[in-house]
Amino acid sequence: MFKKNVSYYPGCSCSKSGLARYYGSSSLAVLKKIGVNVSEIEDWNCCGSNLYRTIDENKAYLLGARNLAKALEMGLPEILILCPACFLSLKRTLTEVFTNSTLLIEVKKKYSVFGNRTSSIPNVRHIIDFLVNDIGEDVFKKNVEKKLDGLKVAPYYGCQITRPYGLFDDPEFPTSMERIFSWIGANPIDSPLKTKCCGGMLTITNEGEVLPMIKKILESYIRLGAECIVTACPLCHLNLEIAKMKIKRTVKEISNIPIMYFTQLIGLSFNLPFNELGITKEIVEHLNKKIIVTASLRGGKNE
Amino acid sequence: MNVQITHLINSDKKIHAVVEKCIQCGTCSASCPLNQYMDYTPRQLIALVREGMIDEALKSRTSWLCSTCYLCAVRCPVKINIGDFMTSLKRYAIKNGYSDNLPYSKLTKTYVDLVNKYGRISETKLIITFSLKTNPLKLLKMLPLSAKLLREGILSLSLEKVKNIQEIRT
Repeated sequence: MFKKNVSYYPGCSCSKSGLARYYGSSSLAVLKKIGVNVSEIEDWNCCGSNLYRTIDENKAYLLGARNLAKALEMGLPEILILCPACFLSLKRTLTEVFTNSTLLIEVKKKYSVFGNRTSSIPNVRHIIDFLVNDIGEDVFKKNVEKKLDGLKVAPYYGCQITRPYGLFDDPEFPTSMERIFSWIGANPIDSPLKTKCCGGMLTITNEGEVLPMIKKILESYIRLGAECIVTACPLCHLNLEIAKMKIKRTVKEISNIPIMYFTQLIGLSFNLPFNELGITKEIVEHLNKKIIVTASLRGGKNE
Repeated sequence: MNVQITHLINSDKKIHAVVEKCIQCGTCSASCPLNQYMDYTPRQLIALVREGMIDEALKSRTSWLCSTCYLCAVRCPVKINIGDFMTSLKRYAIKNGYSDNLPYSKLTKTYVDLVNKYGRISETKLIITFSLKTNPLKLLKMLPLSAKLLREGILSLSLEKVKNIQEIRT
């Protein structure tokens, strides 16, 4: 069986009280099933996101560095992150700390674990990267109990998973999620808008400008025949839900298309409990109707 | 060079890099998903700064409409990060009192206050605090969404404070 120890940074959104708590819980359930031993970073804090950086850049890096230091203290330098904004913040912190000598001195003074000869350099990973490149097809397929054959899944990456660094996939046309979907039997839809901006935080301050943008993305997915839209970002997810509510009356098809986190979909194919995944019975029944029932013909288990 | 431009460029190496290297090709402007709402396109904003028209640049709504999706950054032929340039410009505008009444500026301040107090944020708390400060009526408009989130059991005001909060504040 696959065994690996990593630390986990939930961030505000994916934590137990955040709006994306089921992104968090479904990811943990999936990782547990695969055999990854996940330890939450103790007493973690805000990643020092772009909103904080807009006010105080140096302090934002110090906030990020505290989380990295906690992971090092736990002896688990490989850090898994779900939220793309947190992922980018901590990755950026890491880059800045090791290229800006004044910052490095300040960070070392606060957190002696940095630059300590015995401790390693933190390795910040997004969960998609980890699942595709470390877990891989073989281990993945061993855990699939219910193939989602024929389900037309539309992946929506949003912006900051691959930009600006493009660390593990193409910055404009990534395909990592599609690879995962093919392992669980689903049919990924190729959308030209999959990394188009969802407007991010601007939905709070500039709704008039960004809503038409998100509506366009949703409508494009409907035209392409999506049966399920899948995200990997708490903010993309929320913005798509907001746009869905706004166009529900005029675009009838949209009410039948659930918007889910990609780990919820994986969890479904791993046959994990609905309450851990945070998906309702109605969604599951709806998706089941779309899935070509070949799994039962093979006796429930695939491969 | 006038005093204003020297002060701006020296305040931030990211602004400096953009002003120095930009070739004015306009790839950033064409890539920007929000370009149609901007008074100056990203390329024009850079040109303004170069010309020393700092007041115009800082009063423009362009940087405030940047969602930092970094499409401009990955497409830029001279590899300058225009998204980060926008963030730097916002920071400079806030620091120098150009943006006290802008909603986005208030949002960032609300966010920072929450982090400094709790070490973390809660999206619900952030949106409510921000709306009360700016436009309480907005909360009414959000009722349908709140009702949906409440039904799904994910709307909560609880926020677990970082235990060692002193480390955050100093």
